[in-house]
Amino acid sequence: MKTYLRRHARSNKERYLNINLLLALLVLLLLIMVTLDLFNPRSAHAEYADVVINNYSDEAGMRPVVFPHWFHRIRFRCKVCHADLGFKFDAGGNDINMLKIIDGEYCGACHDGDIAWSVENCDLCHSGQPGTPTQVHGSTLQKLKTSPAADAK
Amino acid sequence: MKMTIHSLIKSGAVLCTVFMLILFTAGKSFSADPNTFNRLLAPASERNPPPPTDGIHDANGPGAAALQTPKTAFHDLPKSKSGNYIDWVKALDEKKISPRYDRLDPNAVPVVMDLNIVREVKGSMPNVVYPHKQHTEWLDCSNCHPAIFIPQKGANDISMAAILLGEKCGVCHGKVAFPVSECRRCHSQKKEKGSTKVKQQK
Amino acid sequence: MNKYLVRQGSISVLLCMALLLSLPVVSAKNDDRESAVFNKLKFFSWLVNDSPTMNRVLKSDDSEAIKQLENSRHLLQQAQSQYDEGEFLLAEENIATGIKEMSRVSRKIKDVDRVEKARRKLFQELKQHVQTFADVFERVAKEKNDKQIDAMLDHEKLQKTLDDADALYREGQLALANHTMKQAADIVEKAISNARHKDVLIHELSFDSLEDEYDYEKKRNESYVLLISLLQEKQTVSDASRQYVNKIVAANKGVVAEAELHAADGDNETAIRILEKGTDKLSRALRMAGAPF
Repeated sequence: MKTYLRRHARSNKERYLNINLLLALLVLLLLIMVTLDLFNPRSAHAEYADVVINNYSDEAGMRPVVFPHWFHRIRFRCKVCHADLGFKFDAGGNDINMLKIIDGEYCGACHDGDIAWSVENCDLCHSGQPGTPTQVHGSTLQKLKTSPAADAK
Repeated sequence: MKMTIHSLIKSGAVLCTVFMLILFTAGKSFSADPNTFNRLLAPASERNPPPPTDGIHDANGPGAAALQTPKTAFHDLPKSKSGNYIDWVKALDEKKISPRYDRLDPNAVPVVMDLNIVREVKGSMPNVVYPHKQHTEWLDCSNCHPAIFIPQKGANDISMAAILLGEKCGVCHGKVAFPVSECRRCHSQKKEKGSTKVKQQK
Repeated sequence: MNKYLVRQGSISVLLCMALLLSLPVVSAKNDDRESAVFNKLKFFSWLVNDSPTMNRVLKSDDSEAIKQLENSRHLLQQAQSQYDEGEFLLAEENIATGIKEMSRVSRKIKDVDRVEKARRKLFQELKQHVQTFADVFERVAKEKNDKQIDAMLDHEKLQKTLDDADALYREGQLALANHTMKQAADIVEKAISNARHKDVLIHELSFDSLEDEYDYEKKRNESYVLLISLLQEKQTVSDASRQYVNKIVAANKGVVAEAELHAADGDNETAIRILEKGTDKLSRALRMAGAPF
């Protein structure tokens, strides 16, 4: 056994070791990536008050829009959007479409390249999971319709 | 020497692979222990998750990774026990945030009204105190009046059920502002004695 | 030798399997890009070839705007050919530049009709708002019966501002009219805020009659029943609690009927007490069913 190995020392054994080492490192790397992506110990809870708007997105083949209230609340008081810009207190109840945004209505009033980044950054808004229905995430009404036990699985 | 490191990495990778395969097939999650303390409550480390893992954003899309994680923004803000886990009113009072009152003018000052409304409630819960001050710092009068609340005493019928269903106070509380699981934030005035006294017919 | 090869070979196979299993996760990201770019291309193409924005630009006399539109169309063609060749990232970049260009153009050549309509609507809403709050102030002033409070609203200034706003509206200077109307709204709001400063209004649960209180109790009980019916459709935490909830809901029907009997007899007070207890039980059942309060 030993003499055989010694004879093939520079060939098979080292070759096997090298291949295995490479594969092992690759797998470790992918494992880290996959772990960070896939595994959530509990069903994830998106940020409270994130509004998913999916009136036209699914049909257009885009991911639904996720509007983060928290980010905007740090920068604007409620009055600016809900009184001055005409947003109603109704997830999906404002008839917003890309044309209106490009024209400067609704989101486009600030997302124009001056006050905030402009409208060509599609994926920053259209970042929801495809097929998510319009909802206010974490709202009481949502909690009334799904039980916490089901969420925690 | 080389051999040992190699074999260590190899055996480690093999173990991890086997573990991963088991998890893939069994579909279990890490915290499968049925006897964990307070299993339905997400621990503090899992609050305000970053967009790629928060269950709403599509982790496969380019957007989710580019967005700011809430924890970065919430770092210096005073915390609370529900909703975003941030006390927004306190954050405003302590000037940790300075949200604009006008879209274009960063120095616009809100018209704040300091008027408290005390609503007596049925049952043993303390009475509700509604403070206009904290609300008018954020909202305009037209946001609530007259569409949600008629600005007249006795004109608004509010019950917990209505609030939970998203009417009246529930238009914001339980959607954007703190949820109604925080009873004492509203029910904050102790009743004097006994229950409601009813005025007899004149 | 065989044992060694078998061992090494099996380890390699295991690692290859792991690699293959992880590949779908990684490759999913690439598949996504193609369909994402396809949809963005569809939207961009509509924007430069078929949209109201494009029509507005072509109808206008602004040569620079038309040039920008042509530029965007050129970018579209570039993006289309890059997509066909599989260069998704480059296509996306061109689409982004094109959309940015189009939004700049769109703001330059405004949709005058829409903007005018929106401004007129806002004007009417603001006017209504000012009127409602002026009435509220009058009511408050009357309640307080205090000359100082009366003086808080400068009626002349308010009227003048309103008249100015109306005049601007008639002239067609809608943006300025709205600005002036907002100033009027500010005047009234500040007046009310000063009049009610540091006030505490107590809304007692006092009713003019026992019948009124009974009606109130009935409505309250109904609102809880409505909420609980919503919850009954969802999965409760356990079968036992579900049974409890159903029992309470069934019992509540009896409670309401009993209260109705007492009320019909004229004994409103008993009816009220019975209903109050029933609603309390419903409240407990609601919490058991998972209502978050």
